[in-house]
Amino acid sequence: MNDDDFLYELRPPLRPAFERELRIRLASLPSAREALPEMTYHHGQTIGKWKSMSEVRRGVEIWVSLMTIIALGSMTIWLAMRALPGETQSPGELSPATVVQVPAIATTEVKPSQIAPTDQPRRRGPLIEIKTASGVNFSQIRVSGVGRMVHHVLDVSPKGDQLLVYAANLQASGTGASVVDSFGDLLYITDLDGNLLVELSARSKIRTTAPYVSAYWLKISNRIIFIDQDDQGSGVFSVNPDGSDRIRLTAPGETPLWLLPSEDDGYIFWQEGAWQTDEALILNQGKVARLGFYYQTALDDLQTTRIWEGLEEYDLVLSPDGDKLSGYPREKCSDFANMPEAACLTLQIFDRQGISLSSFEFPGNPRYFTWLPDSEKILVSVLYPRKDSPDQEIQLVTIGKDEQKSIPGLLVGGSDYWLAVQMRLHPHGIQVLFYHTAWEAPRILDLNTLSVDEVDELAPEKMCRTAGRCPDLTWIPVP
Amino acid sequence: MSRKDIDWEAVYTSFLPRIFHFFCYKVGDEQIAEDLTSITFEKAWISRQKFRKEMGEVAAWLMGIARHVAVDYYRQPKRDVSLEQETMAGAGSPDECVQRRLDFQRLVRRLAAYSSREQELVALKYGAELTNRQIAQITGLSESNVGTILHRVISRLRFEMEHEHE
Repeated sequence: MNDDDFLYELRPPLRPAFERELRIRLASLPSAREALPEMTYHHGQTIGKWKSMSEVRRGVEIWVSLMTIIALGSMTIWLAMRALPGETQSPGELSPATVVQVPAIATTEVKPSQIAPTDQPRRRGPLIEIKTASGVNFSQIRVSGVGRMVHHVLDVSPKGDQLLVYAANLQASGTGASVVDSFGDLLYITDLDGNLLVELSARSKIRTTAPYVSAYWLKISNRIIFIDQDDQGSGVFSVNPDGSDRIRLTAPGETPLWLLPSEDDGYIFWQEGAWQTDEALILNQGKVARLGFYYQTALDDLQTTRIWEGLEEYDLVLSPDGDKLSGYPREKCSDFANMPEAACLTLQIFDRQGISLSSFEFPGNPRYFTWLPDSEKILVSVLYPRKDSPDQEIQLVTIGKDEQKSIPGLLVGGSDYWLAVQMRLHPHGIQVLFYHTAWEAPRILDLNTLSVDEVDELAPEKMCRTAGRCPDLTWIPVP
Repeated sequence: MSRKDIDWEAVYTSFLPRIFHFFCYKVGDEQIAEDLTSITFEKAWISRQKFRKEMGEVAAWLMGIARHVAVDYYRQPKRDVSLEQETMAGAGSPDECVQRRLDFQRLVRRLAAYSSREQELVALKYGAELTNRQIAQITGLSESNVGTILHRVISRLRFEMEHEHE
């Protein structure tokens, strides 16, 4: 059942009598007489006058009543199914009605030994814990057989009963001094009982260090879109959660670099590009080898058009209402060790045609940003570059007011920078979950009061395994 | 293009319920929606010879008329419901029918708190059953913008309807 079914089902039925009445009225119009055969009642009924309509109306009243009762019965059953408690659901299934009521947080945890650079990374698999916001354990998932070193819960199914998980298939270099990606990444789906359900890709390139990732669980169509490869090369693909009906959305030869779905599941936005073979972006030390234009592809007919021209050098994120883009120049800011450059200190707002609307200056580099649901505010992670120990903070930008507010409770120090996935917006849009390597426990920002609370109950056994590598946390719905 | 190029029977069958539901969302009253639907089809029928293919598809043409009819309706002072109309509305209506009407009224009342643009998009999408692309052509918004706005409205409406009694 689609989310918008109720908007069709609650509509009042069209009275058949009205349909007949209108036919008669139209046919009786003087200017219509020449076309009478086309508009004559299709049962061959003679064109009548208004005085005869009551007879027609009475004749169909019984039929109308029957149809109404049938429709109401269906609606009643539909409403009852929605209102039923969990007793009709399987244990792991969640009611859609509770999606935004009681959030929980999923964390992935890997023991410190697993991240140590070695020639042969251990593969014991991650632990994914599902906790309520008060810290009560809801479920634990030990995913076996998919041991990789870095895991993220990229997205959650619309019902909240399955997780879209990414694992970077990292391998240490020969000296152990750095980590390189030599195998490609893994994308898979688990349920909340810890079962590995589907392995979607073993060659996917999922970018987690940018303001966006490249795999999404579409909330309306329940399809998963992701960047992967097949015999025809790289592309954007969509697939059902059970792995069936895999469809290539981009043409062979196109090399999508990252992916962004529109909020209504109608489009994907993507940029042409390619990663370097010695991909080290997971550590944010590499650069994109080649960048291309931005495109929009309709998910129904796969019609693709080039968009956002002239913004190829920007990291862009579309606002929730689709009206604005936020971005900062990417190439000039990619190596923040040599910061600051003037261009790196500005966050720009564009309209959908790429015309600049406004810009915000920062005393540091605006690295990652998250649009809030009103499409007027953006949370910006600002990096203050010092070669030895950069500090970072989160600022709240309000576009209409040209206002910037620093949030003291989220100021961090140390050598590690935020990752995009370390800022998770609550489905309600009123809270944001943050975590950072320098913290003992995650923190939650209340967007109404701008207050920040540390949430000890949610801290995994070890918050961050090593510099730059934290467990993942995200909001998921629970009953 | 002559009128014979248009299958009026198909147009009538296809668009009558869609125009009617469009007005249901616009005015929230079945009787008034029927009246406005009649006016729309009368205008379309009378001016059918003015319709040219280059004006766009039939859906856009009909919806253009319907939107003007809706604007005219809101410009007029509130009309009294005639005795005949009251009788029609109540005659033979079972309790379930009343409940359904109440549910729809509740939905329309909720919707009334939304912006006029959001209301219009809902009426075009869930009343007239237009595609996002058709709505974009009619309203001048981008197609993705239409989808985005609708998605946000639906999510909010759905949440409000489900939590109305909490």
